[in-house]
Amino acid sequence: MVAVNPKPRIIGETDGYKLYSDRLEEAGVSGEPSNLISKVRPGGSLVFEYGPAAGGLLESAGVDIDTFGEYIRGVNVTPYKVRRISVSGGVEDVLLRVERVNGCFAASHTAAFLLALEKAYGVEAPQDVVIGRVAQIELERIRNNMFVAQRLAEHAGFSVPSANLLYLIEEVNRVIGRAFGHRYFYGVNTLRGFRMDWQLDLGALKNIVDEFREVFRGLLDNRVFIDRLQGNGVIVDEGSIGPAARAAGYVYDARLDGDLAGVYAGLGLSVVRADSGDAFGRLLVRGLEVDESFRILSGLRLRAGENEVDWLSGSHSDNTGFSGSGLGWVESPSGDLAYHVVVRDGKISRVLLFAPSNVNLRLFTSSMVGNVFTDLPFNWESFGIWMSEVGVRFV
Amino acid sequence: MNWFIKGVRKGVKTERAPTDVAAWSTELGFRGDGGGSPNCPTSAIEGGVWVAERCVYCRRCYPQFQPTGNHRLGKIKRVEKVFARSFYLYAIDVGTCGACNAEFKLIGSPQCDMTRFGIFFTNTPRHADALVVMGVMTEGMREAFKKAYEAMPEPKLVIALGACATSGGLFGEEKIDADVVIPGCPPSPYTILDALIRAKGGEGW
Repeated sequence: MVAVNPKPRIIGETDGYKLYSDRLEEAGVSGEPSNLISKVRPGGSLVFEYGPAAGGLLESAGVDIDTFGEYIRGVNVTPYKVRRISVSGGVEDVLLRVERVNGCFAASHTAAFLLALEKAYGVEAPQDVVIGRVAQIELERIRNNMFVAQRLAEHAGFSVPSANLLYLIEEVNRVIGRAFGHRYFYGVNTLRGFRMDWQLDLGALKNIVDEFREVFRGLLDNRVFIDRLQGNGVIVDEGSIGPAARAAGYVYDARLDGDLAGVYAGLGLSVVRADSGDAFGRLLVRGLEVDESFRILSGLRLRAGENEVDWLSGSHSDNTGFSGSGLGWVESPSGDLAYHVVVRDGKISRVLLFAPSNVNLRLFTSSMVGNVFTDLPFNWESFGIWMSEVGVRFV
Repeated sequence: MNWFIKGVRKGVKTERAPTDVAAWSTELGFRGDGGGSPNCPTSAIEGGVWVAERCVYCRRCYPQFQPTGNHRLGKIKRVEKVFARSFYLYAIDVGTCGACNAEFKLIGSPQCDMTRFGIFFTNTPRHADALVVMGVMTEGMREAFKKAYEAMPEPKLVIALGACATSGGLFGEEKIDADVVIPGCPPSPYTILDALIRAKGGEGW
């Protein structure tokens, strides 16, 4: 087991607040990704605009590339699909919207939001529910890490491993769908509980993970493939998070110091690290984490029955005049993810989201300087950025 | 071992018929009065009738309404038989959570294999037969959506995919004026593929 880093680290910043591993403080500056394209450019350089809707992009994003033609001087990424999400209505209404901030990380978002809300209310979820949330997040991590590998194989033109990985992603979705009735965990979780009984088919999942290991090894053995990744997008930054941080050798992982750390500690979490800080290191970390996630899932004592669904309605009258706040913090597949929720007079009055894609977007733009055009899609995919959570504003 | 041999050794993974669909992505049917109001957040239940394109599958209507397992939810308002053998799709994300994008991509998985039905992705609207719109319409993407539509050659279809596009879902009131409506939050790859096949004159899947 790896010791928790004793030095406080930064988790993210948003709406004038900075979140560290030991505190939340007002920063007074914008959390927007910095623009790395300078207004004064040398003769012969141009700004190449790619997106917001373009082939090769899974989501909409505007990418401005400052270049002489091949060498990249700077990159700026603009989220065009900015969604304003209301915090009005009841807790269950806001929860539905939180599930849909980033569908592919819905389990992580929901867990962090509910943990924050439970702290605001001064209650704790039963241990079975906490373990169930860990299981959902690890399933999400397995799917996402396979997805990142698939995107990299697709960009490299490797059709067979790309198809193999799409097959495995679909199979993971089916395991999740059979267990939870929904492939993205929508409608499954609630405050202190689950809305349903569920049971995970670990045998099917084991076969998927075994098959992934074989495809992943095949990719790592291929010089043509790894040449696209090694030395691409090198970033060693103390402000990094998730697989990007671990690929640079940092022991940064909310599974060690976040809200669910107790569950992971009981299972002896092994933090996967690399030392290259490049796209290859990030893929290596993600690929090996699939095994670790499955090991964690196998070690959990899942007792996932319908649980406490009526807690909120049962206590609603008691909470009418309630005020409080709380922070929920988990390790999503792309790094630290946190919500800070303020409740006033029984209603949610403010939600701060510290999304991993905001941090990873900054790391991506920084790491692109000095690279060439052909590096861009590989470096982009290696960070596992979802623009859906970058373009969200809670109002 | 090279990838070709590895690919052949995997065997055929493509399914003849849908086999494994997540319950809460299928049609909801009335199963009796379980007491209380469904309190539907998107008004997807009106007068005891389930409106597919508004449903976000929050499960608040359970147990009065329960999944039937029928994944064929797409509504085809216009069929273009000219696309029967070759149907190129250009997807535009105008404000999704990412789940519709992921499910849409999975119609290309070996299990579904859209290409056997003559369905393909294209990276430019100039080569597209249909514009697949996903997400709630955001101001930043309105112009890009308009330009993509105008760039497409005739004849062309507009396909609204997912609750946000078909009704505004949880985040908006605006729905996309579409020839093909594919409900779901998100719709499963089976639902998407079935609707696409029917849109080009097939019997569905």
